[in-house]
Amino acid sequence: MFRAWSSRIIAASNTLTRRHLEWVFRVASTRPLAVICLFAAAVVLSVAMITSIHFETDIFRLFPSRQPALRLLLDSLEWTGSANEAYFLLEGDPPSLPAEAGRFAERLGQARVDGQPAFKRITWRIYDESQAASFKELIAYAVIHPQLFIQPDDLPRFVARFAPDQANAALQQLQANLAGQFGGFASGLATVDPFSLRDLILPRLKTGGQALDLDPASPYFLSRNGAVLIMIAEPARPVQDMVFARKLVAAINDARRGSPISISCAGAHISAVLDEAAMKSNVLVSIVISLLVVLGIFYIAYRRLLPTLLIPLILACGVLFALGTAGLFLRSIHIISFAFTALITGIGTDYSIHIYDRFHSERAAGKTSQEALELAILDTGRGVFTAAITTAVPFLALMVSDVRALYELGLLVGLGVIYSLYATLFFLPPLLLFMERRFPITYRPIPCLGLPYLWRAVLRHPAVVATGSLLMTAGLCWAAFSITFDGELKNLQPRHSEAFLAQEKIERNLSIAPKQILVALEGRDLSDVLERVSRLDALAASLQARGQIVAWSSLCRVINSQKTQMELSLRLRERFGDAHLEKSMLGALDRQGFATEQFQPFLNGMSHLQRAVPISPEEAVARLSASPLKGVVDRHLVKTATGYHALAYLHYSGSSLDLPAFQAALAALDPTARMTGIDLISSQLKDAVRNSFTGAFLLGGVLVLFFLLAHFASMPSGVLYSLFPVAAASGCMLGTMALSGMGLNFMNAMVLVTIVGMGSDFGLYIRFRVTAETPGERERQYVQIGRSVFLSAMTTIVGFGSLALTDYGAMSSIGWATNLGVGFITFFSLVTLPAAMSLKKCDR
Amino acid sequence: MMLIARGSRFFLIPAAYWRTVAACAALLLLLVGAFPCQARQIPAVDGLEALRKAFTGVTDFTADISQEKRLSVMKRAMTMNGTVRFRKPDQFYLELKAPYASRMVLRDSTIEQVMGTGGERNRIVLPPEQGLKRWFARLATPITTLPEGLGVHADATGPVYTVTIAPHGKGQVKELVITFLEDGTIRKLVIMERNGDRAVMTFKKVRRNVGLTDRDFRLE
Repeated sequence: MFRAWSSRIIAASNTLTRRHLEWVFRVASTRPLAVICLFAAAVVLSVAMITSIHFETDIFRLFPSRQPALRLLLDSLEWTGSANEAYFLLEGDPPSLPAEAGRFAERLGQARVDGQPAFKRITWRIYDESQAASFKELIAYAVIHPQLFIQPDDLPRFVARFAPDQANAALQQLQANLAGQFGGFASGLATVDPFSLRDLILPRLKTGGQALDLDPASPYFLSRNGAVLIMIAEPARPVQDMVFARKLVAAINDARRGSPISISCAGAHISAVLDEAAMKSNVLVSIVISLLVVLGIFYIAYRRLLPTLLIPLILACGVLFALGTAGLFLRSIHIISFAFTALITGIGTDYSIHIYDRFHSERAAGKTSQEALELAILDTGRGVFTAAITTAVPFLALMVSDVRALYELGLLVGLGVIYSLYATLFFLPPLLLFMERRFPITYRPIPCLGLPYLWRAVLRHPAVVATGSLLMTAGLCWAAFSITFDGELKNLQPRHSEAFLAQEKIERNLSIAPKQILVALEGRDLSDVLERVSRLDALAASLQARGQIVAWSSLCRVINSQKTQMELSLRLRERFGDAHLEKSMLGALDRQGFATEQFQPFLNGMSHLQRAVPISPEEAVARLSASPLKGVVDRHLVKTATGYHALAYLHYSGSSLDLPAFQAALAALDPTARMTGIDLISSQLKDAVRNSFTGAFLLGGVLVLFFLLAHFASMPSGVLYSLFPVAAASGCMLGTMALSGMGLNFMNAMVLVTIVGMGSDFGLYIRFRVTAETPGERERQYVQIGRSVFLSAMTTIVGFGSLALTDYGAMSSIGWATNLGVGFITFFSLVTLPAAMSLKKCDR
Repeated sequence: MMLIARGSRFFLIPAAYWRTVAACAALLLLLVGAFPCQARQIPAVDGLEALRKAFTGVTDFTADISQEKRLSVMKRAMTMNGTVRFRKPDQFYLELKAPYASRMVLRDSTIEQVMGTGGERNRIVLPPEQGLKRWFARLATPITTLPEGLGVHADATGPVYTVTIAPHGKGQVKELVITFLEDGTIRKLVIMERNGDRAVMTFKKVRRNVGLTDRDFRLE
């Protein structure tokens, strides 16, 4: 029953294909003007659609943001404003760095975009006189509310400062400070903290909120080795405003022009503009080079100008129609997807090669124009049609992928292949007929490219060739088991772009540790959220004690939770509750000769110590936000419409952290906690890619198999001949990649899917065409189709090869993997298949 | 203000910039001696140029210093004695004796300080525009115009000059008064702050070009 149904479907499919090709041939050869008008209208519509598409450049947009880890990362970048910051790395002679940084900061401050300041804020040194007043206010508040700021272990030292001997010693120290400075050092600060209680508070504030590994002795954001100074600036407008971003980068370039030190930039604006420029340049160079080489190959092989000039038109139609159609489904397309243009150049030329080669060969063999064209379109065209469909289908199957890059690339290449095929079928016949009328030539045999020698050599020792091929395949397949997977997202970016290199320098010189985990604890009640953060802190402290993490930061490393405050308040009340604290401090100040009226705010604050109670989280956050520590708050606590999001950053090196164990511990501690980090994102993306791969492979594979079965309905062994080169080449491709140190990544893994479609074509052509009874005729057929296959392989390799040479890691990896695959498929199709056919003595 | 390292601890230093102003002025003062005389107003540029010339030919010096400070936070004026050393282009050393014992070394924009006789060492790095080298570089060429951001008043009576420098803006220093002789001998430096604090420094036993070395500018 099933067999009968499938036979019917396959038969119907074949009939439809044949009739469809006949219709195309009839229309193309009899109504060329109507065809041209129809295509012109389609071009106009496509251009209109393309203008409505927004082009993305953010690398993170390539991946499924609904993955929890990536979602949290994107959220945190948005919440903390990091997504909008610009980073400048200044490198040069260490002594001259600060001075040059000052000059550069001044120029950045003067930079204008459309007459408005380019930056809202430029920060590069801890020293900032404008924050003096707010800092003094924070200290004034902190020393009389130690329950909020002081570490529980430091409370005895804090309390001891009020003992008469220590109070006197502190005041004498203050006198020495006042005397030793030129002028009245810290007079203002002394009035709010005469006993230097801040010494017990400031270290915690500093270390608890650290985001970068800076030289603690420097007033600048300087690396510990003094080699790199980082400047952080907030552009006036968000990164989504690309017009502004481009002008901003121009203003930055003006500001750093002529500087004697090296200044490099990173950040979303810079990355977007520079990556866009690099990407455009990469794609443009790829397209131009691949197009020129492909046209060169075609012209050298066939020596016909007009068919050569038709190829760019066919490819342009393929690209425009694909983009126009994609515009119906997608509001935006990532700029990396434009790489498909180069792929279309490589793949889309194949159809012109096969059809023209057949036409030319038949004409040279003495057939009339009409006969040669019919054979080319209806006979070879059938193979071309199946090949195009089997190429397009696996690409289109990538649309099941969650990974946007693969979805878009699959859609665009799949559509581009189909449109290129139709452009070829509709444009080439009328052009050839036109050439026959206007520029008649005497057709001579096309150069054989040494294929007759290859054919004879293979047939002389078919067993040796087949065995050798199998041994090579087995060896490389064995090597393929050692292939690695590169989960580093950054390796997919342009490797020599300034933004990428600057980011690497930040990681190398200023990162606290090579890797970081971000944990988000969320809720509507701030007190509850901070309580959970303090529990996370305890977990982090134990990890640090065991050497699993290097450091961590959170808001509760800067201020105490309600529970801790309650405990400290109790101890403060117990110690100071009955003491005449204000009176004794007043006496101490008076005895040391201080003008006590100047210290009245501090003395008044003694009552807060005696009646210490926990400070509400809202007040604590408000106090910090109004101080120079606002940045610490912004980095660790965000309030949105959904509630509070407390963020904690855990820094670790390499494999020191047992990530699954930490995940389990965190889940046990707080089931609602979310976490992210590059390792986690990579792991989740791996799963997504694996699922995408499985889905696309199954879907694409089944469809390819169906079309091959339909094509080889009367010769089922043709399916095997089509798929053997793909299977063998896939193993060899992976093996060669493993041996040469290339790994799989999120992008090139999908080549394993797309190559099924692209690669099955070559075997299909060989098996479909080489069917003659006599050895001489078989050789003639092999030479004709082998030449087409070889030239097609060359144009495909040129298309993908142009990608392999780009700076974009994602594209480059696809290019290399595909080229290796296509190279092996060509070898197996042209060398191994003839040997197998000879051994099997198979016929149509 | 500045958050600075103090051993493993941190504390706050106020606008460091005027300290360097004061240090430079103090150095100038050391080159000359005070000379009381009747005042006549002279062009401000001439006063600054006379001050600049005081440094010509000086490579280093040592001197004893006495200082009186009237601070709003103290009931009485603080008086102290000590020594200073200077070496071109950017090294300065100050040691105060008990009861306010402290030692301080300034190398261009880096200050190191020890309070008491064996206290912890503080390290402060000033912004580059406040470095000693830059201040003295400004005095390397003749002064023909008034520097931006400064109000300057100068008068002289006979060989004695008094130059009053008032930085514009809202900085901590309100006024700096330097009194020096025509031959380049400075005798007194007065620093007044906006909060009313006032410091008067006088210098004695000034010895010029004595061949100071790096060893004289160590805190050990």
